[in-house]
Amino acid sequence: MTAFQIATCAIFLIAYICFASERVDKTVAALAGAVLMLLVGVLTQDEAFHGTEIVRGVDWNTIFLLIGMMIVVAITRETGVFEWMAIKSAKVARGRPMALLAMISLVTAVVSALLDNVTTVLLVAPVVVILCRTLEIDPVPFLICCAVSSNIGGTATLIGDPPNIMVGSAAHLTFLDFLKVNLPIVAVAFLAYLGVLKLFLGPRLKVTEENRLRVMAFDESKAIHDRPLLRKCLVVIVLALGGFTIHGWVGLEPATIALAAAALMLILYRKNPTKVLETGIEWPTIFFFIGLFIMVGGLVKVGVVRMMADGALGLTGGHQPAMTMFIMWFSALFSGIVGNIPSTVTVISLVTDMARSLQGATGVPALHAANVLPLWWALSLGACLGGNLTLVGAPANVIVVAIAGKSGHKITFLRFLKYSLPLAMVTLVVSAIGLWIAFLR
Amino acid sequence: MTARDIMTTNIVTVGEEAPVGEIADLLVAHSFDAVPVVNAASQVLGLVSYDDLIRLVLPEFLDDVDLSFLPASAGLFPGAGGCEGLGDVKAKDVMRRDELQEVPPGEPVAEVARLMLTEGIRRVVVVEEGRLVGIVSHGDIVRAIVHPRLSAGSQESP
Repeated sequence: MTAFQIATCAIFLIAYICFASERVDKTVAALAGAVLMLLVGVLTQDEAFHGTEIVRGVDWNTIFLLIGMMIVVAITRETGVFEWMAIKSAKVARGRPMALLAMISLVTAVVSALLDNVTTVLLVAPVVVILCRTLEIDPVPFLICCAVSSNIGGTATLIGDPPNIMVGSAAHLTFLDFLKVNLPIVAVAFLAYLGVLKLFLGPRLKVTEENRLRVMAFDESKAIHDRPLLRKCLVVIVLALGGFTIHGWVGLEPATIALAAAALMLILYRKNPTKVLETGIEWPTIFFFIGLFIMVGGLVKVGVVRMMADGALGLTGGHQPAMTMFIMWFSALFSGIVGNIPSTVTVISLVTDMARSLQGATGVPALHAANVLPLWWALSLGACLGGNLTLVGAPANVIVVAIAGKSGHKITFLRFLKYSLPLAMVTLVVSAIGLWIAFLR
Repeated sequence: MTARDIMTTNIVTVGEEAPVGEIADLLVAHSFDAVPVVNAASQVLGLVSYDDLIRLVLPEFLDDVDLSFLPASAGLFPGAGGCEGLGDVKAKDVMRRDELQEVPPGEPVAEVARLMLTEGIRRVVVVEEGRLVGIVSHGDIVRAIVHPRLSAGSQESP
């Protein structure tokens, strides 16, 4: 390794240690690392902002897809529909705890597949605390299940979870591709998740008849106070989903669809858009992505990722099932340690370089070659579901733990792990089997 | 006119170990809506307002959620058994520093009024050489400046 490569690795490692430790603000660490790479001259600004054939630079497709969906969600949440769904699930479950856990998980998973995970848990989790308090049961397993089911649901679609947005963009996979490959695997993984919950948590959950009636007294219809806006939101979301479904055929990038949905939403909103644009868009998250893209670009530029890719190919001997399983479990473990957003950005560049080594070429044909394609799905499933391994694995986990702490139920790293690890492992094993059936037989 | 001219100097303060029950008694018994928390040297450490007392029974994690779905029978704190242990809470646990805006006695009232409106606060503390000497509230400004002008105007018109 040259001194330049070592310096680049050092910047990268320090930033990633910050992500894992949660001591330093992630956005600050990512931006500082990125700027340092530019200052030292690892990357030119042009390479960082616009990319080259080898270095991808900032992935604006991902950035604008995130921004577009954040605007759609920021307006939708004002209607109270998230609260409505959480209360409705409790009442459909008639306050029975295992049924409630299953319903809340299902609703969180479906909503997370279509909209942003973080917003979903941010609005569902507090209602879950109220429900559990009313039922006089411990909210902690319910809260952890909110995060876990949100990450499972998000795995199903291109727009469901940031790792998928990035993988879809980098590998030129469409919304429909995700529905064909990930959705069936996620559906089975979700059932396996419910099975594990029923087995281990079911017998311990008991509530009194009186408390169940108190939950039934909640009036979910009152949660919705702007029905005209809700109708507009539903129309825009349906149109957006339609747009995502056909984006591959009409030759539009997903970010274009998301921005179109955001623009339409803002036109129909008719209130002051400033607040939505200022607080509805999670700017720290956006800058976190930008910092990560630049940092990983630096690592690619100096050839470290190429070395890692050749190492991974050497390790697996270029054997298809071994490569696929390696990428899936490596992505999962890496996500559990540093969080699934930084891990995905890194592994995307790894898989891209593996494709370059395997195919001796760049571009879409190399990325979609028969021996490369399964690696993208392995990365997507591994990173999304690996996000459930630990508390730092995915943004939704951190949000849920913060809400739990504020409500007086402290969730430590180990307590989270006790629930999340078995659930994550079950879904990852299902994914491994799914990948084998789909690609490796 | 400066902060010194309109400030209330007859201030009730509490120590940082004061129990919240005592603070609630004070606020309810008197007409003010916040009490400064001071140390032995009369330095202001923070303020405890009605907002902070309400916060005790409506925790921050509910801030993002619309609570319209709760039945009429539900109290302020949704769900059962959330209010135990409130007797142990002390001034230092609930007081907020971010609500605390300090001004010197010579501050023009226009600046005091501007601070209140732009910062969204209801009172400023007047501090001289590190010691609390008075409080200017919304009410003080209306009483001293705004109200006399408005009532003078209404007297002039027939």
